[in-house]
Amino acid sequence: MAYETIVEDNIDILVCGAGLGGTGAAWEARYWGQDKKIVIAEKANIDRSGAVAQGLYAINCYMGTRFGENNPEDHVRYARIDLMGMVREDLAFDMARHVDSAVHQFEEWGLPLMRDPKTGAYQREGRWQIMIHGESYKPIVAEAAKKSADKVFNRICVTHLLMDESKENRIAGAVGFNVRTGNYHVFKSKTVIVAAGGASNIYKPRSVGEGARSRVVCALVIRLGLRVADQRRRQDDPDGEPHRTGPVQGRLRSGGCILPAPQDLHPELPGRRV
Amino acid sequence: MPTFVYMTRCDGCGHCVDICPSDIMHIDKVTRRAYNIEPNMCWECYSCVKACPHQAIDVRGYADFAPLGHSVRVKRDEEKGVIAWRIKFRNGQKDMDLLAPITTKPWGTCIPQLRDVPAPSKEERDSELLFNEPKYLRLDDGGLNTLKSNGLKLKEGVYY
Ligand SMILES: Cc1cc2nc3c(=O)[nH]c(=O)nc-3n(C[C@H](O)[C@H](O)[C@H](O)COP(=O)(O)OP(=O)(O)OC[C@H]3O[C@@H](n4cnc5c(N)ncnc54)[C@H](O)[C@@H]3O)c2cc1C
Ligand code: SF4
Ligand code: SF4
Repeated sequence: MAYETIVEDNIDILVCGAGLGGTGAAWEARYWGQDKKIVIAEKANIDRSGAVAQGLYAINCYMGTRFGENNPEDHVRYARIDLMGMVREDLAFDMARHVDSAVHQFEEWGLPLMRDPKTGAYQREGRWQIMIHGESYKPIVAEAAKKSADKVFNRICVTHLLMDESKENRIAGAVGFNVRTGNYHVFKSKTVIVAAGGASNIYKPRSVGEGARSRVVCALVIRLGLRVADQRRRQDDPDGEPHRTGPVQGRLRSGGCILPAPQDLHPELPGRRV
Repeated sequence: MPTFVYMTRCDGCGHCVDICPSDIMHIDKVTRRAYNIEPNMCWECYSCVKACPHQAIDVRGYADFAPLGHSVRVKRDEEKGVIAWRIKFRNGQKDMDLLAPITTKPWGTCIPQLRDVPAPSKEERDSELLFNEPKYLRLDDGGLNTLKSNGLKLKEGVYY
């Protein structure tokens, strides 16, 4: 069987991997780049891909500033103590100060959040977690992504990111293959958001033998020589599940996400400054 | 434990193939029925089970705590926006019917097309805000948390 090479050109923003973070990235990118060409390349089917495919029963991290519950600095303090000081506090703070607006949008999109009948606030389980009926968490955020992206390529496994030969230190896109057909796919893009699942437990301040993340983000970006910011835990999940982080982590929150923090990619990317 | 297919119920429609995140539900070329090609790679995410229009897929329980005789069946109804679980225990007595909402809004109607909303202003572009912020952050109750607004300072180095 002959394999084809399929080229998708003139992309402004390419999202590699559309789990919770990537779908949110496509959505957010559409707002800041209304006339841009946004394309998603995802290894599975975005309706049920990533760590949220099976549905979740909670949102692990919600500040509840609106209800007078926590401020971002409370979360930074928690994460710092929990990880014996080994955290990027700026990233933790940034994540914490944006996470609530993502949650409020999810509720508007139809995600059923439980309420505490007495206080009217979201139902807590512990200090940080709120309870949801999250069976369709992924189909709901996938709907937002499909609405936002110009094209969604399902079943494309991205293997390499491309650098621009003519311009130093400039990203040029990504390549991968269709896991079904074996066809080779080339994506030429001005910006690439890598959200293919982060890593955790590269350093182990606390837990041993864990590590449910795919680490694909790291595998893809390390080869370009990028600095990977924080490999210890997912900052928006203080509930003892130390997992995904990565270069995009500073701008990823549970489901809502924006362009990678520029300092973690490279200076010329049209990302917004943190 | 992995999924398996009741061959008499399967009609080879391929919905499970289309959705499986692990890409392990395939259609057998001879029988034209679906099967799990790589049981040890199954994530038990139930995506295929919920997608099957004929309830032809089942999932084996873990042998250590659910050896034989139990069953966990599920029906996801997008129209009604609910998911129903039936969990039968192998002691023959406990039998649970669970119902939960999967969405509170009609599908495809409550997520705006951001291409068509008013474009962000220059100030917004230069700010630290994300879409819908600060309104959605605290729903009209204050702006974005910053170190300054929260009376904090960035200290250098490691401190406790
Ligand atoms: C079993 C389980 C239960 C959880 N429960 C909760 C909970 O109740 N509450 C909560 O808040 N959090 C929970 N979490 C954590 C949360 O689901 C994850 O942290 C979050 O979904 C991670 O999102 P992500 O976008 O970073 O990565 P992922 O969702 O993992 O997305 C990565 C995406 O990239 C794709 N991909 C990977 N490699 C490639 C490639 N080479 N090319 C193209 N695409 C690629 C993958 O298919 C996937 O879609 C749970 C996690 C698990 C595993
Ligand atoms: S349960 Fe999930 S991983 Fe297993 S076959 Fe079904 S869809 Fe695939
Ligand atoms: S979705 Fe059900 S009926 Fe369709 S191929 Fe899969 S198992 Fe068979």
